[in-house]
Amino acid sequence: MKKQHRTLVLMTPSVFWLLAFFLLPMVIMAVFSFGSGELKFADMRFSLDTYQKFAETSAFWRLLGRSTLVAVYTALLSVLLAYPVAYLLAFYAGQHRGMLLTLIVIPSWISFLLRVLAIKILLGSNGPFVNMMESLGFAASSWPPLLYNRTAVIMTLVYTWIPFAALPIFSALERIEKPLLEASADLGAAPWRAFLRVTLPLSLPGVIAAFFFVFIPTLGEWVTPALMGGTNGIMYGNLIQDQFVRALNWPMGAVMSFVMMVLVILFLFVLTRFIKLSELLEG
Amino acid sequence: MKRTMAWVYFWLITALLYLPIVLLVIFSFNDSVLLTFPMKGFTLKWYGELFRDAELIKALSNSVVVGFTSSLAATIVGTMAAIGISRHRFFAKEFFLNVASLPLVVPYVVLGVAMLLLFRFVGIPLTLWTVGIGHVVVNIPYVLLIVAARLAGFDAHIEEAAMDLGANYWQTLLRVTLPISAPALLAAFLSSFSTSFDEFALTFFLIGTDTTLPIYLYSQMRFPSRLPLVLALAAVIIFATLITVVLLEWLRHLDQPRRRKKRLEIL
Amino acid sequence: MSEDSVVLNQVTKVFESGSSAEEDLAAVQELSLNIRQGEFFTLLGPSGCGKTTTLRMIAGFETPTSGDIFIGRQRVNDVPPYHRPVNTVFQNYALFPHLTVAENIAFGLTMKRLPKDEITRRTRKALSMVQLPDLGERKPRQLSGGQQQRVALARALVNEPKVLLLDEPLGALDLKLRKEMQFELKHLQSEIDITFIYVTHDQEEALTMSDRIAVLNQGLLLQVDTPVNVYEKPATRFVAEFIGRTNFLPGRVLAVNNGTAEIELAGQSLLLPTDQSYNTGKEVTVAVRPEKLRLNGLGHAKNLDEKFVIQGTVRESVYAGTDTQYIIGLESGERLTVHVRNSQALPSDEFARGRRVSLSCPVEALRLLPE
Repeated sequence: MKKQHRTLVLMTPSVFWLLAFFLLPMVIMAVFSFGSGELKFADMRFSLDTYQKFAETSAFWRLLGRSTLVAVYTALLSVLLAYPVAYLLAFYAGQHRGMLLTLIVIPSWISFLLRVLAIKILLGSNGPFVNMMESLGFAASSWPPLLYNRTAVIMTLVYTWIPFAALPIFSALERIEKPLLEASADLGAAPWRAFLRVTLPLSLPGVIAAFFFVFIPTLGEWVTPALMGGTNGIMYGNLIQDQFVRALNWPMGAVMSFVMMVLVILFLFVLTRFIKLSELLEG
Repeated sequence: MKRTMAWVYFWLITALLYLPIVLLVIFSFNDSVLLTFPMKGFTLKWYGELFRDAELIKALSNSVVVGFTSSLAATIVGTMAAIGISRHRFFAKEFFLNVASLPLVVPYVVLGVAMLLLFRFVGIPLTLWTVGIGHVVVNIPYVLLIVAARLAGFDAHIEEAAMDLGANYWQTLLRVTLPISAPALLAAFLSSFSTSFDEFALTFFLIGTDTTLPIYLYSQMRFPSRLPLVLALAAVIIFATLITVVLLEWLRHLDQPRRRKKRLEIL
Repeated sequence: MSEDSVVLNQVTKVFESGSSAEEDLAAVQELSLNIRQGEFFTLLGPSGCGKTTTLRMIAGFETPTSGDIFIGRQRVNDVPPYHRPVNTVFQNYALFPHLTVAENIAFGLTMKRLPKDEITRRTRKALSMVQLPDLGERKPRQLSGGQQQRVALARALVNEPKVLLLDEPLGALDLKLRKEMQFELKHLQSEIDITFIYVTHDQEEALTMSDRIAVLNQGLLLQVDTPVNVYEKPATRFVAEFIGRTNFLPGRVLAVNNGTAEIELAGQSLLLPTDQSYNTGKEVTVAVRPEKLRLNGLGHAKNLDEKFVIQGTVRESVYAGTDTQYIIGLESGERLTVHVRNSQALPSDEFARGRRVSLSCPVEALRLLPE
């Protein structure tokens, strides 16, 4: 069957790559986390020691919980702030929507690290923001610190996520058939009510997609906390990274990672109750 | 009223998004090692120093090479998969699509740890190669998305016409399908390159003693004296990114089919 | 000598729905056709009747579930489209957007690896054949719909196929252009000795262009015959209704004798030809075309040639330029449509609304429809 052969040829590279370099690593990580810490298959024995240690360290759990909270706040804020942008693009931008969309996405293409650096300069103790506040009469000491805390992390993350959160919402809003909106206006709905009862519900799949699209990767975020978080703002991802860089406790790192992965799978499962993952590809 | 509010909000957000970038460029000309505000004199010396910094040049070239090869690989692999998905039926297609979308949402720290463990277990040393492999994984969903969208958009009869005229399956692919999809392929490539060039969170785990540009940047950000150099680099990167984006926009316009002429014609 | 160009033998195509066998779609059911060399053969029917599926099976884009397809003497069921001596003109033309018009036309020749100068020569000839000699260097998107259609035609014909398949090629053109192209296609086909297999849902198009028409509905072949026969002697009620307009009258079989049936129709007893054997008393349908009925005032003497007469009242009259269409209500409650040519300077108002009239026609105009 030549047709079957063709399909095989076409799909093999990607299947192989995803299998070998995505699924297999995940499996190895899972297996290793349940192992005795040996880095050779032959020497590994089943052991729950590391898991036990993890479960006993309440600091780890608290950090995981706090990180989840941070991720929730980030996702919520991102979606909230991105919604009006998406709304404008979908309904007010007309033919310029493609161009404006590109406009807000461009900053994301510029090195993330550099933008964080720029924010640090902006909000830093010698930076323009503080200087401006001081000239207006607010002494620097009366302000809560703008950097190196959890708020700074959330703000920076939201800042980077807004354009990406806007995309799925925009897609969903665009897909609403205009006649539906015209019909609700025709039937006498005031603009706010039309929004609450028609537009918002219909855009909900996009909103939910945007939320999870921000939430799940942010769970494991470590770069922003490392740059902006100080001691108060570190997240679970930093803990994992630490195991491999400083503490050199690979088994613990794997356990922490696996726990996070399970959490991600759980959340993904919730997400797929609402939308199909493959639809993200169409978003 | 709602309209004006929305526009004000939009431009406010846009301004906020661009503010740091503008700032970076301005301060790259600052004649001082300290980042105080306001600026102290205008200079181009940091740009000059850029070219003399051997380590930076090395990191830059590494990023370009890794970016180029991983994007090439991702585009080829992803395009083949996109063709398979759009034009063929096969077992567990839905499952494949779900798995292929996962790299989009999985936290890079988890992916990084997992791949690190893989390489350790199998005995592959951490080099730019392992970084490249990771970048391909991350980029496959994007390539799939871009190319599959393009393939879905054009008339399926065109490929049938080619076969009707004597082209077998592979000839049709080479002479018809791929040329028509060329703008999308290029867009996928550039998108992958951009992602790879800027990638840090995952690269951190997969890199050995080499550097890529983001890795280099991260190490420099802790040293205040080197900051102006970093800013000059930032300005250069911004400029290069803008060029890429303009290129992509131009491609997108090429890709758009012309508005169909009205069918009512006089010959 | 007219040999068979394309033969379909009990071809069936079932599209599996993937869920249950009941939901499988039988697009074509046991279709058998013998299409002759050099014929202009049309597959006619409403959407979903299987005509396009049949065409695609001949082209090679679909494989029959069962049955055989022969092109020339060769059984082509397993032969892929690029090895079949047929070419297709698609509904939306399917021109290659990234190639010029000339490259489009030359595509098939390029695939055959013909020498360059021959390709150029034949391309030029094809362009002039469809009257587009100067447009070779343009891109398809720069052409009008009518021009694109000609390029699609040239692209197929330049390969000198044995059979040309056309899938509703004129559907996207406006009326005037369509009529012009119909004439041109017919003329073209008669000049080059290629078999044309044409798919359309437009019965008027089929009638004007075809040597023979195959009428399909829901995957089944209802009738294959010349346009005249399909129109004048429709094989089923569906064919009678689908092609042109028809009146139907209920009748009853009184007797059947050797190819002739005695039918009671509107109180009269008529002898109509038939190839069926009916039981006495069976209810049947008789069809008569609106233009075959003659409208007479009640006082007029009956023309002796016209054996069938019926009376009614004018319900509606619709002026349609070349003729006037009347709807006559019968006592039995039925309505008949009559088309009267406006050959006088002005339509007569003898048949105004409410007037009592009599309709008549020759017996030969009545068609007994088989069940």
